[in-house]
Amino acid sequence: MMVATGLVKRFTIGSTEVLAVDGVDLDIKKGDFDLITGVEGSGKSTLLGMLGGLTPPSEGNILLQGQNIWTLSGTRRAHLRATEISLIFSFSGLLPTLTVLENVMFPSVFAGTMVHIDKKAHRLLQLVGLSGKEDLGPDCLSPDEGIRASIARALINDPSIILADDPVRDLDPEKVTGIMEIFATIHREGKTIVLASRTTELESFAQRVMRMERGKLSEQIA
Amino acid sequence: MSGMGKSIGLGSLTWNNLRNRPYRNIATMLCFAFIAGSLISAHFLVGGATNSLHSGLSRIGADLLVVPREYSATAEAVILKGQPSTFVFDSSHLEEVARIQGVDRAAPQLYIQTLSASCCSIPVQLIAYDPARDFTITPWLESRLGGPLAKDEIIIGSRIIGNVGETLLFYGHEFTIAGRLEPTGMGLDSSVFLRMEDAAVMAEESRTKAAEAISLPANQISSVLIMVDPDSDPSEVAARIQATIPDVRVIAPNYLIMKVTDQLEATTHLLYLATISVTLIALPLIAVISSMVASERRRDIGVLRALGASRPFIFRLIFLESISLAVIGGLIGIFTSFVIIFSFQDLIAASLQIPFLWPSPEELLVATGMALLLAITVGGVSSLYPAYRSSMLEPYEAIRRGEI
Repeated sequence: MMVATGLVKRFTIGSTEVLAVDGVDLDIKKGDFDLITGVEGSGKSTLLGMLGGLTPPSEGNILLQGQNIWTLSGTRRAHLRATEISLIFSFSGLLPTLTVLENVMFPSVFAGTMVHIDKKAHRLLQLVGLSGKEDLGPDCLSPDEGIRASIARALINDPSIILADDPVRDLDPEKVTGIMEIFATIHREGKTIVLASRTTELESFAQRVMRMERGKLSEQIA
Repeated sequence: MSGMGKSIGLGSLTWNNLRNRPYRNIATMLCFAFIAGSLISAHFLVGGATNSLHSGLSRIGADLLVVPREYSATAEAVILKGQPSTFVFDSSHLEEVARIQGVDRAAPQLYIQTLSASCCSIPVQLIAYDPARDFTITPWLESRLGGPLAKDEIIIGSRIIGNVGETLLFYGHEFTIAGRLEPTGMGLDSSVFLRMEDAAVMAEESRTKAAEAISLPANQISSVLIMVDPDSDPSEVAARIQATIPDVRVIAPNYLIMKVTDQLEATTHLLYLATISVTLIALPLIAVISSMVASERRRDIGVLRALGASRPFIFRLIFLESISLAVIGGLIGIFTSFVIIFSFQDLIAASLQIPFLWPSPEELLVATGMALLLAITVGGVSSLYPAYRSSMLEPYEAIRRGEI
C-alpha cells in the first residue's frame, strides 16, 4: 500500500546540519497496525511528516498505491492528504472557531464530499464516544476528548491510511487505553494505521512494532 | 456546501474566525470605517455643494447677474445662502446694460427683506420681477402653471412653509401661493417671487397695514439678470458691462461655483488628506495585524494543510478575512457619514458657508462604490503579503513551530 525507500531527511539549524531520518525503508501493507516507538528527537514525527506529505524527504521515495507522493503537484498532494492520508497529532488540532461537529466535518470540504456529511460526522463522534458534544467548542473538551474528536475527523473522508503522531503523548495513563481501544476498533474495521509513540506500552495494540533511534528504523517482533 | 443543515466551507470558517477575535477586528474595521467615511464625506460635501450650485444657478437661468458694486457680497449671500437683504441701484442701469453689445435680454429684479411673515419665524427674501421682461421665472410658470402669475400670486421656495392655494402675509398684504420651486440648496429655497407691481402695492399698503412700513423708491432695482446673445462670450460681455458701468458688479455663475469651491477647498483638502493619511497608516498597520493573526494561527494553518487545504485555500482564507473586515468597516463608515451629514446638513452648510443639496441616488451610489472600493483595496493590498506567506508555509514546519 505504502512503500518508502531510502528516506533521508536533513535539517539545517543555524550552521549545523541535523540528520533527522537516516535511510529508512518501510513497507506498509493494507490493514496493518504499525507502531513506531522511540525517544523524543529520534525522527518519528519527521518520518510521519514525510509519509503524510507534509515535509519532503531530502532523499528517497514514498509510493502510495504505486504513486510517488512527492512528485505530485502541491495541489494534487493536498488532495491526497484530504482523501487518502489522514494525520492525527499529539494535540487535537481542532480549529478553535468551529464546533466539534464542524471540525469533524471540515475535511470533507477539501475532499469534495460534503453531501450528508453531518450524518457521518455524528456517527463517527458516536464511535469515539463524543455523542452529545457535537455543538461544543474545542476549548470545552478535555485533552483526551480533543484527541477523540481528531480521530473522528481523520476518518471523515474514509482514508486509506491513518498516520498518528504520538496522539497519547499528553494524556493521563488511564485515558491512553480508551484512545488506543478506538484505534484498535478502527483497525478491526479494516483501516491501515501507523502510530508513533514514545511509550513502548502500546505494543500490545500493534501487529508490528518498530523502533526508531537516531533517525534509523529497526523492526521488532510484536 | 452543506450536509443536513450544517454549513461548512471557506465562508463559514472566515465568518467564525472573524467572530472569534472581536476586539482586534473592531479596531481594524474602524480603520476601514474611517477611510471610507472620510472619503465619502469629502465627496458628499463637494458633490452636495456643486449639485446645489448647478441646480440653483440653472433655476436662476441667467448667464450674468448685475448688482450694485458695493452690494456684490450681499447679493452673493442672497443667492447662495438666502440671507435676506434689501439693496437697490438706479433702474437706468437696466437700459444701459440692455444696450451693451452681446446682451440678448435683460430683466430687473428687486430684493426686499421681510421683517416678519406669516410663513416664517425668520425674515425671508422677497424677489420682485417684471413679467414683461423676465426670462427666468416666466418660462417655469408657463411649464408648471400654464401661464403667468395673477395679481397677488406668489411662487415660494422649497423651504417656505405653506401649500399651493394658501395665503401668506407680507407687510400686511395678503398673497396667494401659486406654486413651489424645487429644492436647490441655495438662497432660492427661502425666497418668495412676486410681481413688481404687487410689490409696489404691498409697499404702499404697508403704511397702513404693516407694523413697520416699507419704502420702495421709484425707479430703483436690485439686480439685472442677463441672457447673453448665443454668439457672444459671457465673460467678454461681463467685461464690457464692467467697463461701461463702473458702479456695478457683474457676477457670473462660474464665478460663484469657483467661489464656493474655494470656500470648500480647505475642508475637502483636509478630508482627502485625512483619507490619504489614514490609508497610508492603515496599509502597513493592517498588514502587521494580518501578519500577527496569521502568525498566531500558524499551527491552525498547518493543521488545515494537513487536512488537505491547498495553498490557494489558505491564501483565500486570509485574504477573505481582510476583505470581509474592509467591507463591513467600509459600510459602517459610509453609513455613519450618511447619518451625520444627513442629520446635520444645514449646520454643516452654514458653518462651511456653502449651499448644499443632497446628491442624487446615482451620485450616492457612485460615491458609496468608490469609498467601498478604497476600503476593499486597502484591505486587499494589506493582506496580500500575510496571505501569501501563510499559504507558502510548509505544513510540517507550521505545525512544529506552532507547537513551540
